[in-house]
Amino acid sequence: MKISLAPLLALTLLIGVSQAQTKKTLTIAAWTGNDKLIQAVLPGFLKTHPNLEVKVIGGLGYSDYHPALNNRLQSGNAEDVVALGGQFVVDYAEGNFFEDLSKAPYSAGASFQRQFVKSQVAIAMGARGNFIAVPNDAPPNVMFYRRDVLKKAGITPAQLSASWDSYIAAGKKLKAQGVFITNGAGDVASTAWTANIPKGEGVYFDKDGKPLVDNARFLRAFTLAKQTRDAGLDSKISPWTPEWYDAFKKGKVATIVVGSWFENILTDQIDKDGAGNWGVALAPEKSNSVGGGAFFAIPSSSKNKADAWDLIKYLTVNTQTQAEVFKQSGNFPANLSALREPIFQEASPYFGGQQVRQTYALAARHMSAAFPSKNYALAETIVNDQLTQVLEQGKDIRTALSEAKALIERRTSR
Amino acid sequence: MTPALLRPARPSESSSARAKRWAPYLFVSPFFIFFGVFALFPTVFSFYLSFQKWRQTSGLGEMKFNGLENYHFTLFLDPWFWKAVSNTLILGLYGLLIQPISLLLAFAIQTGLKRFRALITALYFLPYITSTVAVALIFSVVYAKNSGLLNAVLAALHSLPLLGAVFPDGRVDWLGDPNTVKPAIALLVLWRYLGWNVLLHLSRMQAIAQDLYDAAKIDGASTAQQFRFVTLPQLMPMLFLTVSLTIIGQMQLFDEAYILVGGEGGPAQSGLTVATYLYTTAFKFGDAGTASAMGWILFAGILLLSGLNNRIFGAQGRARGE
Repeated sequence: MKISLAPLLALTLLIGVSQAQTKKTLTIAAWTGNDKLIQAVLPGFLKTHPNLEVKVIGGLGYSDYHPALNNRLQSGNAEDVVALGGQFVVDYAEGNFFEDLSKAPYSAGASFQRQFVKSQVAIAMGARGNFIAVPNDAPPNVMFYRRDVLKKAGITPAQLSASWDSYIAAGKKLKAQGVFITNGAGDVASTAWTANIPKGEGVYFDKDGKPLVDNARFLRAFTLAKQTRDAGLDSKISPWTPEWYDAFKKGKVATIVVGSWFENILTDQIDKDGAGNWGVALAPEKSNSVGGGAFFAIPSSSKNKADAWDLIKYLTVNTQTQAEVFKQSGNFPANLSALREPIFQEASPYFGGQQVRQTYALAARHMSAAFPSKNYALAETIVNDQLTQVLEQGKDIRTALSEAKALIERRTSR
Repeated sequence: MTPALLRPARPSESSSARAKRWAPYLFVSPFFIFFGVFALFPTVFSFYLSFQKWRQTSGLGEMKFNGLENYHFTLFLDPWFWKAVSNTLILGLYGLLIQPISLLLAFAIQTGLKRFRALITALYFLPYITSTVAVALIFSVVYAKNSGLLNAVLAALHSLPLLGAVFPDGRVDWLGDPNTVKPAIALLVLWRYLGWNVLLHLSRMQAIAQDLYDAAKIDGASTAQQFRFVTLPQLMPMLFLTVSLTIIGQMQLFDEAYILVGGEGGPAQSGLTVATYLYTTAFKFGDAGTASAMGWILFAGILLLSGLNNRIFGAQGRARGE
């Protein structure tokens, strides 16, 4: 007896198709690193959203990711949720590509924003009072230092943190031992000028977009860098090269002020066997500023905004997700309540039993809420160029700063 | 005479005949589609953009026509553009060194190393096809200040008796000192494109008739004379091509500068080229209009230099290139 399978097959197919159709697809885009982290914490989200299928679009590095995303935004093909770097949040807040999350149905107003580090919230607030992106992580700049090297020179970390003057004085002591206190005099300057910013001022511009780069903050920062260079206290190695790694591993360079994510690079790549050699303190004069971090936003073209918002909340408001992401990557939570999770109280054996994450948290609370401004990258490039001329070619500091101001004005007034 | 032939052909065309008529267009269409999307459209669009004020982070609707302002700013108000132009021209002069070196190398391979020609050419060609990422990594080791390969070699040469004084002591901060950034980039360019130029010269040398050399030998010409009076004149058409390619390549220099000193040109912007500056303007400063204007100014510059090259080598090349 022969049974025709065709009707049965068709039925199975139909059921299959209808089942597949009940699963909605939500897409999220992020740059390399963040893409894998989102993937890793997704199962928790899918538990509460069983009818969703979430696709993570990743694979592009930070600098390639944003131009590519911009093309998709222009053509209305962006994902339901997209990650954005801080500077891009500032730029996009001026346009209309993204949902204003402070309005209904999201209603992420002041009480929602208060959960997050204030420096990141300041970035996400557009001039129109629109809140376009939720901060995900906010790596504070802290100072990593070599315990063994400092001890040998008779210097305490507190001396380094106290002030830039005592930091430079310690640098001279270290030099006598054949050790550089920092790799770059330029780092001293940029650490100093990006921190302790008065309320209502940005790093490079004031509220009205006027450049501030010839004010006392920059003058001091440039002077400190010049002092560091003139005394020969910096090792001047190209950063992120094998030679640079080696200088830290061998204790040739005693300190670095850098984002807290440096912990992972230190423990995994630079000085794997260096347990006990390293410690963490606040940057000199509490010059702690935010060093990067990602935000999540919903493009207005998204077809599934409700689920997109749920996913953003899962990633940023859920303190367990934030703790898990930190555990896997060292991305420091932008959500301050996440700091109550046990992982942030743990003593770290690598750092000689120090509770380094408490230091990160302290630094995070010191970060000034600088007024965000467009043309940040432009101003940064111009100021850095003038700084190199001061350090490498002996240019006068005041001349350099007024030139920087003129160059920035010329470009931004167009 | 049949009536069918009198009828106009088209309306009665069978579908297979129609297909035959369209088939060639169909087969060549992929090229035109890709060319249109990835070459023609961007070119036309960038020309349009160069007269607009536009930040990419705002929508297409935010574009504002601002006439020649982008060109005016780039040419008259932007000191960095001229810095980039002068860097690019200096690097271009360094780049032209590749011609005599590759020429002599090709001649040496052609005359002296006939048996290993294929192997040696392949070895010289290798850098040309090596991935940029690998190149960046290797050269960061080569140019490192304290433990770099190049500095180690220089230090060894420096410690030689007598001759040693000629060489620096091996403490050169290649990528950190504004004075050494350009030679460092030029060396990388030379390393990368030497094989390609050797290959081009060699291919032309192989096409030179052997009887010309035989005649020269009978007349008592030395190897140097053969090179000067037989090889070089015969090579003119190829030299025109390789010099053109070098000029165009040097004016558009991007990869090598970018991987060594980044988009902002390194210390005192000594490694900023027009192409890396254009990229930084567009994608870091977010100013697509000005970057497009720069692109067209660069195009005009290349056109000018190519024309000059045509004047110098082209006429000779065509005259001798039969």
